[in-house]
Amino acid sequence: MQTWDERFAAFVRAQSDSLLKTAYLLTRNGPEAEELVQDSLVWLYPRWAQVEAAEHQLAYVRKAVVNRFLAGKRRMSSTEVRFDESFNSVVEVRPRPDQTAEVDERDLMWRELGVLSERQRAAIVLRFFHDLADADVASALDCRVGTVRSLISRALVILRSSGTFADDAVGSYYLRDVK
Amino acid sequence: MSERTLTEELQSVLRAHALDAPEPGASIAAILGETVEADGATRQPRLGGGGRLAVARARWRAANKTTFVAASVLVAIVLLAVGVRSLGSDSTAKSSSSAAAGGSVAGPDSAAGSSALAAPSYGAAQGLGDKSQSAAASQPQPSQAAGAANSAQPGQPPVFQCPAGQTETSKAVATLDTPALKAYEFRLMQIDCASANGARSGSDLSVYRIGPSGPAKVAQLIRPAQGIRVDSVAVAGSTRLTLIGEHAGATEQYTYAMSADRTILTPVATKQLTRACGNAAVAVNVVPASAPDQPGRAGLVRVLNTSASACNVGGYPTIAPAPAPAASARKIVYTLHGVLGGVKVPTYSTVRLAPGDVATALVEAGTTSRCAVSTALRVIIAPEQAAQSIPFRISTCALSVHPFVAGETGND
Repeated sequence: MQTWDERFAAFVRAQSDSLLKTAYLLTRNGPEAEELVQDSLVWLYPRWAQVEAAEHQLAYVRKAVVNRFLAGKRRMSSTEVRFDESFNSVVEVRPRPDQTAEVDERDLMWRELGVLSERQRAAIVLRFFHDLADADVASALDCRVGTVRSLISRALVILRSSGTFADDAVGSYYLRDVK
Repeated sequence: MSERTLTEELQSVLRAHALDAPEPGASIAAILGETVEADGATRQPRLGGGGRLAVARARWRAANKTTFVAASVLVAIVLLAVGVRSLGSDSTAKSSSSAAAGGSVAGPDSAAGSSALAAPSYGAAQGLGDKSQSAAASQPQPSQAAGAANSAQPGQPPVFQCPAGQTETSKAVATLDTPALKAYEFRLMQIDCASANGARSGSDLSVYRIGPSGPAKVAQLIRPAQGIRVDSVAVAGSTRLTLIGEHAGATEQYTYAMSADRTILTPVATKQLTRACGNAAVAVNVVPASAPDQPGRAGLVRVLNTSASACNVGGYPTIAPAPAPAASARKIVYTLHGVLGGVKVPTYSTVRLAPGDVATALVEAGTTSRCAVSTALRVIIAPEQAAQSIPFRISTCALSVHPFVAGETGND
């Protein structure tokens, strides 16, 4: 019988990669993605019983990551910074190579994804990267299905301007009400 | 029709970029280091930096508490053994021997337990000369998280690693006069990383304790992940610390209040000094650059501040020729300078545009013949701005783009 800690550690080891990918697509920045995932999982640790009670643990944790992302990144810590002679308060998170830097600049659609609002981007990532149904996206974003469709359709209008694309059923479904 | 649909292209872009997400190893180590390996210190919700600070403090206290308990047990055993020996009888001597044996078993266990608890204390004891802790606790074995990315070892410079391909610059930007902590000097150090194309990453601004055993990082004001490129730091009197930096194209001022003993820095204000130029604030066009004998060889992306207030433009404009060239010619490089100009310094600067001021960025094409010629350039002047399509004819082979500079020439 695994302990709480063991089950948490097993989840972290198994799902960090997937969560980092989601976080990276949301934040578009490697160190911020790491921080988002770390903060979310550390925050969930004392609440792990709730995660285990959820029907889909990964979906529950992913929702926490998305909500934390949408809650906004504090550009400046709102807490004081103390130091004294006796302890180090810092574990330094080393910046990781952002191998996309040059690619980003050449990739208009990736750049246009950065133009989207955070909620639009979250909806796009959940719908088109994770292939979630609109209802599941709505659950993750704590909003109605109609809101999700609106977020996605507005996002697709922006993304459509990055090139010329063939017609497709999925895109048309979301864009049907857009002139 | 080989043309992709919008949703296919979107899924392709998302999947391709997801591969650039960070490897999970460091995050797993950090998460487990702050939770299951943190001796119960994080059973409460953590709130940003304050929480991390609390974890560190709780660990330090836990280490000291355990050390105290271990030392107390050892003292009790020694006193017991001495007391028993003082009785002087064979039978009690045997019993004393037994108690000492028990002690010798319990001792290393206690010490090991103490050391194990001291271990995740971020190496706090290492740079201290260990005034207060027991010998057992003074041999920290850094936890996985701390060992992977910790601050300085005694006598060694601070550990910091710029991403591969980037160069590091570090400098002391201020010395904090901390009268309450006279044993050490505390310096504010700034570390920056810059890539080959002159882009600076977010700064690391941290307080280092400078002691006989070398510098050790004791607090962090600005983390690289925040994306703030610090340009200046000023200590105003003994009560304020002010940073000026650039974040997402805007120039911002961050003010910290300092406690009377200068060991607590509390953020009190963030003020935007100059905003980033948005599409609405500027007029963007593309004009022919030098090389008049070679039409279509080069152009200048010209940004004119048409608004009533100053704004910043900096870095590289993103461009894409329209119609899109063949895949073989799609590669556009972003370099500090090229054959026809650009900037000569190792990192580019943000350009502040007063109303009516102009910044330009040079775009040059290769000299390869038989290249398709664009009829327009799609231009994004800053990451958060939408693309603008601007009529301009330029060869689409070997396009290179250089950073924005002040003025009309595209050269610094």
